[in-house]
Formats: sequence, structure tokens, C-alpha cells
Amino acid sequence: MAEWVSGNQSVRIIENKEIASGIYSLKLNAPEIAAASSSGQFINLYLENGLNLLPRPISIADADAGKGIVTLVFAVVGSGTEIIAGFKEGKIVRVLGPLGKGYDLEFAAGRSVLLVGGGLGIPPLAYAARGLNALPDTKVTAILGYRDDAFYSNEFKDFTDAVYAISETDGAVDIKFGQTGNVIDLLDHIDKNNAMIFSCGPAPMLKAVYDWADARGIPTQLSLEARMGCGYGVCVGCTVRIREKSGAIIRRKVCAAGPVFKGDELVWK
Amino acid sequence: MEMSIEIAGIRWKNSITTAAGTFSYKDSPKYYDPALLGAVTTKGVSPERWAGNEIPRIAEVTSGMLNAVGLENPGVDVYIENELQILKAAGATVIANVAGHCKEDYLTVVRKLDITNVDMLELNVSCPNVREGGMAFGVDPDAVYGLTQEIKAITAKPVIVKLSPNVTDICKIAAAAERGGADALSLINTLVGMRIDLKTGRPILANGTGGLSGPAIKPIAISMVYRVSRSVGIPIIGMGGIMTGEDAYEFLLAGATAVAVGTAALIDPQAPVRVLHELEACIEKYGKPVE
Ligand SMILES: Cc1cc2nc3c(=O)[nH]c(=O)nc-3n(C[C@H](O)[C@H](O)[C@H](O)COP(=O)(O)OP(=O)(O)OC[C@H]3O[C@@H](n4cnc5c(N)ncnc54)[C@H](O)[C@@H]3O)c2cc1C
Ligand SMILES: Cc1cc2nc3c(=O)[nH]c(=O)nc-3n(C[C@H](O)[C@H](O)[C@H](O)COP(=O)(O)O)c2cc1C
Ligand code: FES
Repeated sequence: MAEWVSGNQSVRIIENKEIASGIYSLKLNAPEIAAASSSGQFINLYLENGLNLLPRPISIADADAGKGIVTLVFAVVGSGTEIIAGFKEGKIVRVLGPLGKGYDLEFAAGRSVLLVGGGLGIPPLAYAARGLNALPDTKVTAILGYRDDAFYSNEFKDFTDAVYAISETDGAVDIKFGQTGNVIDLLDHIDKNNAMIFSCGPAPMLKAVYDWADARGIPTQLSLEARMGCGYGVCVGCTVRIREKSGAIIRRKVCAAGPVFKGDELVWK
Repeated sequence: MEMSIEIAGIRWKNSITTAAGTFSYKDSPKYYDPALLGAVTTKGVSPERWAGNEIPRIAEVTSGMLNAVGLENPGVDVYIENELQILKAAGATVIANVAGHCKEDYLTVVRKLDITNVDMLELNVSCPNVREGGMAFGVDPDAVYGLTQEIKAITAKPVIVKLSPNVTDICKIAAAAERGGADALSLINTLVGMRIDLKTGRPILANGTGGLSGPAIKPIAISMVYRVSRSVGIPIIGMGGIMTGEDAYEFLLAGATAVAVGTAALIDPQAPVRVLHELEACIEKYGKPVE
């Protein structure tokens, strides 16, 4: 007998706050989702205005199963996120999730995990840090790259051994190595012993992180983005090329098999 | 309420099915029991695995969407072993949507499906990459007639021909399918559309164009169902932008015997079941549409 899943989740917004220019932290009272989610997963947020029909997939930045709260952090980049930015506390929104397959924390246990985040890819890694922090003998280092000002970096402090942040623009953040630059500049200074990487951020950054790690034999788990029609596995709108163990290249869905994939199973262009 | 219908000799519990390409039981969380619907229509299958188009394959437009998936699918053998068997085991009535680049492709898929427990076949004749005259089957009445006839000759399963709206006169294509022996028609498939990214100046979809679906196309679909239902004698499965029971009811009024829910299910996984309940309420309110 199949196990039925609720596809109709209406949840209340308990906070929607601008935490940096054009970047919002949205907290939802969503006990079911909070209890079921793990880091790297995402939820679909629907606008329900009859015009912007498609889901806005947003990664889970934190889930507190005890309080039943799910936190999302999103940037205003288009018409939909602009509308979401205007959502007020108390509003009921329709969501679906948690969706997708997140980070493999088991694989990370006992290693030195480098959380490499860029921009909006940073908040979901704080949720991974929370999970990793609970594992025995696991070292967690956050390496955060911003374009301008830092945001959501304090959320890492309780769950990591060290947090390094860097910005592409001058003097914007607490830059530990005394230079502006990107996450690769930071990675070069980090202890690589027993390391592995969880990374989330813009596609060019993921590629650079993968190349850097691959050259050093460091395993990676990377969180991808794709334009989605459904976000739950039926429309086949979001597939990427994957190299199977046999060497065969097949396509798999970012929304269902991912969004987190092992770096060495991806076929890079 | 008694909602059952008969279409091409097959009894459906009610007049709702899923639209091809917007439903999968195997690859999705289980949001509802597929046996609740009149039938479920599965994604287009080809003789072999098809890789489909590059991404982006999806773009949003006002009250609709564009897709250019390019019929990525695992091939008919994998479909028969997996999705089909799982759906049949769950008690669903299953319509397999058949895709091909050329006539032989369709024949190969149908031969394989003919010896399975699939309930009905739906021929997707709006594929742009066919050999004959370089034109899609679905826009050429002779090609539709010829294909339908050859398919009917090799299978005992009821055959639904799915029509493209990208034609000058859809009634001509409908008539050709009927002459070829189609047991039913389904309409409409998506309309060719494009969106251009303002920043790059290039189409958002990797394929350039895509198929437009969703509420934006509903009035076109209604008018086509209205005209086709008055020009042929075989039953019609209507689709195109059905979001609610009222939309479904409107298609029945236009002349459809059954309806399919597509894009709505992408944005609300339980939409087909919701539409069914809303349709029941609608029938209670306005009465059964008379044939
Ligand atoms: C798995 C996943 C997780 C994500 N997590 C986050 C997150 O935590 N925070 C965040 O700010 N953003 C995240 N994104 C990106 C976010 O979904 C888009 O920025 C957002 O959908 C844009 O919507 P819009 O209406 O403002 O833009 P528009 O350009 O108006 O949107 C039009 C359509 O394109 C889609 N779209 C546009 N940009 C993207 C994109 N980059 N990725 C996927 N679809 C896109 C929209 O969903 C919509 O369907 C994530 C994307 C994916 C796939
Ligand atoms: C993502 C997507 C994939 C589709 N795939 C198929 C397909 O494989 N075969 C087919 O005949 N139609 C396919 N269609 C067309 C739908 O079945 C339907 O005819 C069309 O979308 C109109 O209905 P709607 O507005 O309710 O979606 C697809 C549509 C979408 C949106
Ligand atoms: S977005 Fe529909 S299958 Fe992934």
C-alpha cells in the first residue's frame, strides 16, 4: 500500500524581514515540513495570483522541528520574489515540501567538512552545519563568499569550528586573510586534511569549487539549481547529465534525485 | 453521484484523466490514489530512451508556462516494466501516450504496448522531427490518416489521436484521424510559443521555442473542442488550462466526453482529484451537460 503524502500545505508566515539589501528571511509556521526536512532540501512556494503559476523553489535555511518553524532566505530577482518580499506576517501561503534529496551527512561523519557557500547559497549551508555539528568527530568550517555585504554568517557560529568570509568588494566583511576575493582564494589557506566539501551557490562558483577539489582529491556534494515546472518529479523539466558508475551518461532530475549531487557524478560542460 | 462514463469501449469511473507529461506515479511522492481518476495518462514513450532537449526547458509566462522537455523518457521497455505495472497494480486505468520521430517509431511502441495490460493508447502526433516531408504528422491530414490506419491495423487497444492546435483547421485533422479509425480524439496539445530574456536578448528556453500550456490557452482549447465535437462522431477528451471543476465543466459543455488536467497538476499535485470533486459540485449546481 502506498504511503500518501500531503500535497496541500497551507502555512502561516510568522516573519518576513529584509536582512540585507534585497535579501529576505522568511519564517513559516510549518511543523510538518520542519519535522520531515533535512539540509539541502527545498520547498516550493506558490504565489497563487493566477499569473505567476509556477512554483518558486527555495532552499530550507533552517528547520526547527521543536518549534515547527521553517526558515527560508531569498533574494528579490524577479516578479515572483518581488511579490513574496511584500508578504506580511500572518499571511497564509501554499507550499509543498520538503522536496528533493539533500546532503549526505552520514558520509561526512568523522571528516573535516568545508561548507563553501556563495551568496544565496550560504543560508542553506547553515542548516547543514547544524546537522554536522551533532555528528561525532566531525570538524566543520564555513567558507562564505559574498558579492557585497555579509548576511547570515552569524548563524554558522554555534555549529562550526571556524567561519571565514570574503567579499568581492572592498572591506565589506570581516576578511580573515586580508584581501578581497572569492571562496577559492579562501580555500587555498584552509587545512585540507581529511577534508570534504558541501557547496551551494552560483553555477560558476560550483564549477570552480569542483575543479579545485577534484585536483586535490577532495570529495564534493554540490547543490544545483534548475528552472522547475513542478519541483516534485513529474514534468522532467529540470534534468542534468549524470555519469553512472558504469560510465553511461543519463539524465536525472534536479528536483528529485538532487538538488544535491556528488561533484564527480556531474558531467561538466 | 454517478460519474462514470464509457469512452471507446472502456469504462472510466469519472471523466477526469491526467494530461500526458504532467503525471508520474513512480517518480513522484504519492499525493493521491491514481485509481480515483477515470484514467491516468502517462508521459510520451518512444522505442528507445530519449535524452530530450538541453535545459532550461521551462519558462513561466502570464497565466501559463512554456515547456520544451523534448520528450525525455526511458523508452517503452522500461515504461512497461516500471510505471505501467505499478499503475496497474494500484488499480488505475492507464492511457499510454505514444511518441515517435517517424512512423516506424510509433509502430514499434504500439506493438510492444499491444501485448501489455495498458488500457488505451494515445498517439502524440505533434512531434516536429518526422521524416515525412519534414513536417509534423499532426499538421498533415494525410499523415494523420495514414498513421492512424496503420496503428489500428496492428492493435486491438482503443486508439486516441492527440491533436495539435498549431494548424489552420483542426477539424480537417480531426476528420482524418476519424477516417483512419481513431476511437477517440484528445485536444489540445500545446501551442508554439517563445520567451526572450531581456538581459541576454536570447530565448529563455534552450530549444528556443516551447509549448504553451495552462489557463492562458483555455479559450483556444474550448473553441477547438466546440468545433471538433460538432464535426466528428467520436468522443473527445478535452484539455488546455483546466485549473478548476468549473473549467472542466466548460469543456464538457463545449462537447468533450472527458477532460485532462495538465499544468494545474504541476503546481498543485492533487489538482486532478480536486478538479473531480469540484466538477461533481458543478454538476450538482448546473446539471449534467447533455450530449
Ligand atoms: C532547488 C532550488 C533552490 C533554490 N533556493 C533558493 C534560495 O534558497 N534562495 C533564493 O533566493 N533563491 C533560490 N533559488 C532560486 C529561486 O528559485 C529563484 O530566484 C526564483 O524562483 C526567482 O523567481 P522570480 O519570480 O523572482 O523570478 P522570475 O525570473 O520572474 O521567474 C520566472 C520563472 O523562472 C524561475 N527562475 C528564475 N530564476 C531561477 C533560478 N535561479 N533557479 C530556478 N528557477 C528560476 C522562477 O521560479 C519562475 O518559474 C533556488 C532554486 C532552486 C532550483
Ligand atoms: C511539461 C509538459 C510535458 C508534456 N508532455 C507531453 C507528452 O509527453 N505528450 C503529449 O501528448 N503531451 C504532452 N504535454 C501536453 C499536455 O498533455 C497538454 O496537452 C497541454 O499541456 C494542455 O493542457 P494543460 O493546459 O492542462 O497543461 C505536456 C505538457 C507539459 C506542460
Ligand atoms: S521540476 Fe518537474 S521534474 Fe523536476
